[in-house]
Amino acid sequence: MKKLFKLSFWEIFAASIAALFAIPILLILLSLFSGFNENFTHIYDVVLYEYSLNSLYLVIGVSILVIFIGVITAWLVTNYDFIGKKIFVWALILPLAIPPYILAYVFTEIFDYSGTANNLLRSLNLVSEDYALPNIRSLTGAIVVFSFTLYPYVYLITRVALMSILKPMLDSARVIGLSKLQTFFKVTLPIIRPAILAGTALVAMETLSDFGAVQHFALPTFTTGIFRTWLGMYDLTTAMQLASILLFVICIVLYFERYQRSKQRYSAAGVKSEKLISTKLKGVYSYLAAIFCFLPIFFGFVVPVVELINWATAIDNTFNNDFISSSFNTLLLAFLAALITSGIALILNFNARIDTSRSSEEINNFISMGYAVPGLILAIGITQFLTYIDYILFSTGLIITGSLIGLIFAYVIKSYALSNNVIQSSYKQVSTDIDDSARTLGSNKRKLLLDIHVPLLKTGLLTSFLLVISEVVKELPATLILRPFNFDTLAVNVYLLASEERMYEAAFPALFIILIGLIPIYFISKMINHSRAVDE
Amino acid sequence: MNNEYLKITKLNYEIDKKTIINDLNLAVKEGEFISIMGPSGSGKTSLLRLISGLAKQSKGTIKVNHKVIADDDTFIEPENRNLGLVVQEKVLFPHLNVINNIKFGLSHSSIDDDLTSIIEQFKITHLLNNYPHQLSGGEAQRVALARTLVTKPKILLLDEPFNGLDEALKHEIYPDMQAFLKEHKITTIMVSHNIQEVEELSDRSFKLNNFALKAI
Repeated sequence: MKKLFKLSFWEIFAASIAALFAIPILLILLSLFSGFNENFTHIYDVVLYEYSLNSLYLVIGVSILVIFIGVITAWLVTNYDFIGKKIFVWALILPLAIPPYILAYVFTEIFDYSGTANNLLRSLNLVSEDYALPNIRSLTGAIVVFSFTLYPYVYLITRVALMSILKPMLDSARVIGLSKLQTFFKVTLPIIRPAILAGTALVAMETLSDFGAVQHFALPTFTTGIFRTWLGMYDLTTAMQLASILLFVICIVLYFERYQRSKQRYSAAGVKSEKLISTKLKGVYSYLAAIFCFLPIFFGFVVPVVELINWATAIDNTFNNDFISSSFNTLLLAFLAALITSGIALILNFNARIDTSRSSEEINNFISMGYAVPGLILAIGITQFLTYIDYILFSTGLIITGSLIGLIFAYVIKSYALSNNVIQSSYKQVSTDIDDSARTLGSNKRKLLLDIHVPLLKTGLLTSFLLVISEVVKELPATLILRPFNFDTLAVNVYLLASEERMYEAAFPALFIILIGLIPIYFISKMINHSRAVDE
Repeated sequence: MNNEYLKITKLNYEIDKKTIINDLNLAVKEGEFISIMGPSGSGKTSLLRLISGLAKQSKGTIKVNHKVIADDDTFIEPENRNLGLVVQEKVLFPHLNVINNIKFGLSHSSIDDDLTSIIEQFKITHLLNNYPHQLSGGEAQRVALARTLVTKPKILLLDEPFNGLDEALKHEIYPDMQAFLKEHKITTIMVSHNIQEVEELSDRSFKLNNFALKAI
């Protein structure tokens, strides 16, 4: 008890944030102890099997396709020189700017009976008037959509792992007597395997968490099931119980991802040494490599952006009141969330730096896991939490529940890991000897933070700020559920217009979301350029 | 010994259950300059960190001017101990120029006579508007010393402070620094590997080895 009173402001702040972040999740898990009603029994008997099977097929299909696209493209741009390679290195991450739900809306329109793809094929006499391409609103269609937007996760992580392989490693394998193929299977593959699996686990988490794309494709999965149970059957308890099941699955994937990452760190812990030299591809091989790298960029970025521009310019009054007000709302929320998230990340990292015990670092790691919680589940947990607070504080009704607080709370939990990663790595650039000097020169912790750390971390803070903004602008399910009445954001606007098949009107706000989504791409490509410069 | 200014009694320090300092006792008089030598990992730097409050001892007492600054119940934060620390690493604040680095520890922002005299004494007048990345190793170390001394600490802790300096420069700094320390009665503990430096500057010197502090 004596020790409790000795806790500093910084330690109490960190522990309070951890508790606050955990409450919505705990409330969801607690629903498992409140008994199962007839709705749950009905869902269990009739649709739970279908939800599970669809989610499983989706994850397996997307995993196979993202490994195929991500690993081969990473392999090509790392080991070979071919036409356009320098552009492909960064352009292959462009699809990350497009949220799966926007690609789903665009593909639905393009592959519709009277959509661009069918019209083009008919004009080339490749299909008859009666025939059309298969319907994209299917499980296979969803697999394609997720794969084209999410493969960059596998591409990026695999590329980093490939770049860590040093030439002497492969040379010594060859000297021992291994053939090129044996060297690949016995040296290269074991080194990059944890990276591929970690990237795929991230994709699996994103796929399981998605709501917008599967809802648009009318695909019964866990997320659409949870949404329907809550807002269709008005049964929050059963929705929370379903969410608990999904949360368990996500936890397993998250554990798997962290485990693979820890192995990846081990394998990539090589000293700086001679890097691999790219082999120059000639003639047809060079073209084939370029085409393979171009296709995912074409379908994952060029096609949707060109089509959206096409639609947006086909109608008048794109700058209407709805667009202006939803843009303002989006940017307001994004700014507030970015400010709070970056502020919390700064304070918690500061605490982890000045506190010699490991607990601060562990708290930080725990809070960072929020990124894995699907927005929909977070929204349910936060609603439940804020309802309790309203019940305790106000007798007049739901004051906090219907406000922006819940929404910002969800954004902060979802995007904390992003902000934390940036600020943590910025902090590593600042020697702790500087802290010691400031402390012995009379700076208290507050002065150390404000006068020394903040100016030194300003680039990191700005990066964190922009990354959170781009994340918040894209977020759909949590926004859809937690937004105050009549408060639309760009993502909600696009969702509502797309669900009414008004894609031309949805095009302009969708383009705006993509534009903001390009912010992290800029930073990632800068990092890639930097590592290339170091290599060269 | 009534005039002992810094008194360390039965000091113990452990990190992750590994003993770094064990039962260390030390008494230093006001204005005295002592040096501690010893092999790497013997706990010299840790001792300076414990005295400065940058680390907390596992057991033992540290008193300054008969007042406890660290024991089982008391722990005074480094910023309130009125001491200075100069280490061999680059510790100037990179976002501040030399003059702002030097003024960092002062409560007032004006340039008074003391400040001017230290700047002149350490021959850094021409560097005041430069930023740390524009300084040589020797210049940076002189600025770091000036920045610490300008706060007039009662205790000065030096951790291999002259490592980056050439011999000529060291001998330019030594007399000025010694004069300043004597004039202001600053008690100094220096950790060093350089026996010549230790002999030249210290009133007394010790060797720390196998947890024992022995006078040389």
